[in-house]
Amino acid sequence: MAEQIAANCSGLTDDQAVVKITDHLRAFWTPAMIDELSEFVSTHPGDVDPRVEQSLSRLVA
Amino acid sequence: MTLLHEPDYGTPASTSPERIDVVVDGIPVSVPVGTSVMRAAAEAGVGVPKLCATDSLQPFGSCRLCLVEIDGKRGTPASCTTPCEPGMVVRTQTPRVEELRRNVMELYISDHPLDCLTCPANGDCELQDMAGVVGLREVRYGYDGENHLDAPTDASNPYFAFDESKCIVCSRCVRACDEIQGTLALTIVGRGFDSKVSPGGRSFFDSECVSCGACVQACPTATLEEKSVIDLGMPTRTVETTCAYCGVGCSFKAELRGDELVRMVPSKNGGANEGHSCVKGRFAWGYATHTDRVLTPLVRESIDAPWREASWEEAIGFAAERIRVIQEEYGVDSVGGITSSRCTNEEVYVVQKMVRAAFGTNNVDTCARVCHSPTGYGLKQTFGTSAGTQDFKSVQEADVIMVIGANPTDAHPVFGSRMKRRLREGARLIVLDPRRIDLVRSPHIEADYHLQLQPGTNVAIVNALGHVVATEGLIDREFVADRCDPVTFAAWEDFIRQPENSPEAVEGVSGVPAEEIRAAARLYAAGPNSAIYYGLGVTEHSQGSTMVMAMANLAMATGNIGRDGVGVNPLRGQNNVQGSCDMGSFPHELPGYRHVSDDAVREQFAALWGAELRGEPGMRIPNMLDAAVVGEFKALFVQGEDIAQSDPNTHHVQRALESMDLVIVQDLFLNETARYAHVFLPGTSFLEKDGTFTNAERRINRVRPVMAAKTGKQEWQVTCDLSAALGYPMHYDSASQIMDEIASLTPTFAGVSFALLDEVGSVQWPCNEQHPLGTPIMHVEGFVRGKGAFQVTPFVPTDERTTRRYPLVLTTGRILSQYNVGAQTRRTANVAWHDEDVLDIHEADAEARGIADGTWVTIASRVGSTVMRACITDRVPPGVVYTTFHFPDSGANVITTEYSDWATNCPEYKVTAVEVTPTLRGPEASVVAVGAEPVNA
Repeated sequence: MAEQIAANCSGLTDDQAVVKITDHLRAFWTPAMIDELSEFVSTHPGDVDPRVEQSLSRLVA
Repeated sequence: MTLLHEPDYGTPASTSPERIDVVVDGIPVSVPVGTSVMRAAAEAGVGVPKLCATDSLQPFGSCRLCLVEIDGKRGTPASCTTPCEPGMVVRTQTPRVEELRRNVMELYISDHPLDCLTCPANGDCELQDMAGVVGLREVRYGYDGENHLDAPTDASNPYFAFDESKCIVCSRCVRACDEIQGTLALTIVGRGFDSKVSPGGRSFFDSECVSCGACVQACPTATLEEKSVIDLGMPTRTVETTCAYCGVGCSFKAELRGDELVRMVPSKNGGANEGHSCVKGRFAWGYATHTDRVLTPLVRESIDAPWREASWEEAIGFAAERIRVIQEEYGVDSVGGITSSRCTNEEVYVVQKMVRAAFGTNNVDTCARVCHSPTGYGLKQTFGTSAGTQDFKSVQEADVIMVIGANPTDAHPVFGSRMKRRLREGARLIVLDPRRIDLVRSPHIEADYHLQLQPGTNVAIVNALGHVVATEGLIDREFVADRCDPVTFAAWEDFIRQPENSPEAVEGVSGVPAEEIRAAARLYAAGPNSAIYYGLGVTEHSQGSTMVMAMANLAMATGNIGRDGVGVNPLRGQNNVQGSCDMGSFPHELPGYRHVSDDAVREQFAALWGAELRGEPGMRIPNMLDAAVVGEFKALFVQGEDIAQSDPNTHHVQRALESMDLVIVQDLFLNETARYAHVFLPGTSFLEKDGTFTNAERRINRVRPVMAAKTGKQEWQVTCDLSAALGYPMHYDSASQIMDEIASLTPTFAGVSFALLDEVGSVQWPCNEQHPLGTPIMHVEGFVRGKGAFQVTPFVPTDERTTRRYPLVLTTGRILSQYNVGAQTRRTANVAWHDEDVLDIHEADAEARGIADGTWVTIASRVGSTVMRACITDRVPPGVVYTTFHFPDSGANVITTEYSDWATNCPEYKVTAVEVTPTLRGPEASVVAVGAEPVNA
């Protein structure tokens, strides 16, 4: 799902996309879903769109 | 005819702003230019006898009963077809016209059965009334001459009879079918004395008739009469209420004898329907009293145990105790609820309040998740509010109508009739749909462009329309500069001008010739009033939200927002989709679309509710189901929705439901979801409810109880009981009090109350201090969000692809006579028209597979397979197959996948790769799940 969100930000610059993904996850995802994604990213480095990784960093920070 | 007569002015009102003065029977009256003499007389309080005239139809001048004398005019003109002129002096009662009227009536009655006392229309017959009005005392011609008294009755329609012997050939039925419904199923055949009404030389049932009831409504005699009136007798009282089928939200007069409903008659005062109806709202209400209804609470320990009846107290206590145990063991967030778009605003509001305040979680979602959630997201991002922009009347001012992924004549028939009326008047039409829906070509209507795109390519096409607008100098620069955000517009313009968005670039993927896309874009941009109407063919895609924003971009770029005749208009599937969303049914929003993380808003709710509220979003329906499968979600309250039939990938839904320790179903019937339930709380039909529905044009309509709740309780009372059993009592004495609380917490509803609705009929939100009578058109002076925000809308194809194994694309929809999962319409005589789902397949695809029309076929996707009969048709193009989803036996959603919209999780019902093969099996062996796991967890 996060990958799909990132794919739909393809018309934006990377910075804009990171902001949009961050806002989207914050607005619509439960904390548990964000935690789950964070765990997946940490155990599968490089498997997730880097813009999603950056968004997660912002959310967790 | 209707029992309780609404004023009938004989001819439609003129909309001219200019007025003229006339005198009728010595009474001066001022009327708009274009007003008929008959209407002027009615407005002066003078009733002119009439039979062929009624104010819902254009004047016809055939019955010769409304003759008048006018000073300075020769003869006795028909008042219905004579327009008023300045200073005109009219006399409606003179010896000359009185004699003429009696003579005319004498001829009518000489060929009419004299069975008034046993006629079903006795007391509700205009012919009977007029015979009295004109003072008919004798029929000099006798009754032995040539006549029509032995003419047959056509009882083929399940809901009404056509007794030809009583017909006076006034043509009101024919004109109603032409002018109001727009089906043109009726005609007058024969000449002179042999003239008669005919549904095209066939029986009503076998004709083009769509059973909207307009002809029955228009008939001044008992010729066209509801069978329920024939069987039960004339009703004696009326309750005005709102239909519970589609999102048009038609107002009806429920007419009863005592507590027995005799008929539903569309209300002329209804803002949404203005006196029109469809076969469902008008006739298919029998489910409400069907014997399948469960009226007593049921409970069971496990889903493989038999149900046992329980008292309300026991059922509520059982549910509450199990919720408590589950939350203690698995945590607060292991439970949740789903609200229903079939229920009233008040019923929905208390369910989401119970989940947030009593359950203590934001795990509440609504069935709008699977239909119009992308509408809410997309329109909020662009315009600032999650709702359509227009009222239904607005279509009457549209010059160009673009219908995208909607089939109004089947799914929203009353609005479809409005649209067809405008199209017959000359509005231009663009249809974007993989199927050739009726609007593409039907009597007196033909689309200028039918962009028959490949399913799943909506965004590519609408981006291409935007590309043409941007590159051919068709942007309304003044509107954009004045009304829209310059930064987002610049980004959009830069994006949309890119070559990959050109019609030529998308021709290959969409299958639509570039020149057709260019021509359609030019037509839409030329307007001057261009309106977009769309349905689930837009939203139920993996790019549903992108598509809604792409349409909003197009409307803003061409200046088609903020006035009559334009806009972006979702045609909502169910009666209260808009309302259920308004009422805070989404897990991230409190009522009024305010995010749960907004501290000020949350504190306002918390203070009034006396509860702590969570500030982070809860789970959506698919999240809840996924969590259930892995054992983390254990209890679900399901209000009036059948997720086991309506949600995608049925196998996955079933596994999720089986995994829960408590499923509570509140419904009329033991539906498919109830197979997995532990508690069944019987619900109320719309005829028993007290509350409000909000339709697709944001119109808040009253739903009044026509009869007492057959379960003994209103649904909101049951929810309050459960909430109280959980330790959070909600104190309401009436649904009206619930609305008062909604109004106090929701700025767009601030002015709404039952008292206001009872006074003015209905209002469209926002209804508040600034707009005390509501807001028919949104974004008139400025967008709700301030400046309209363009969004960059890249076309990201779905991951659901055709392969050699699954080479066809399945798309789904609904048919006129049935409604959604069919729980209501399958329990009515509507099954006479459609008693099973069938698979539409193109001749080329059928021939290549050895499939004959009407034979059984297996439809298989990567998640499951089912069996239906094939219907070979050229409505679908080669490579695309189509079915409806009204019957559980066909299990259409066994096939659909779990791909969903990137922003909202709205399922991608409209694109499923399938293969179709001939089979000898019938439906008894039909539904097979492959067992695929969710793909987007």
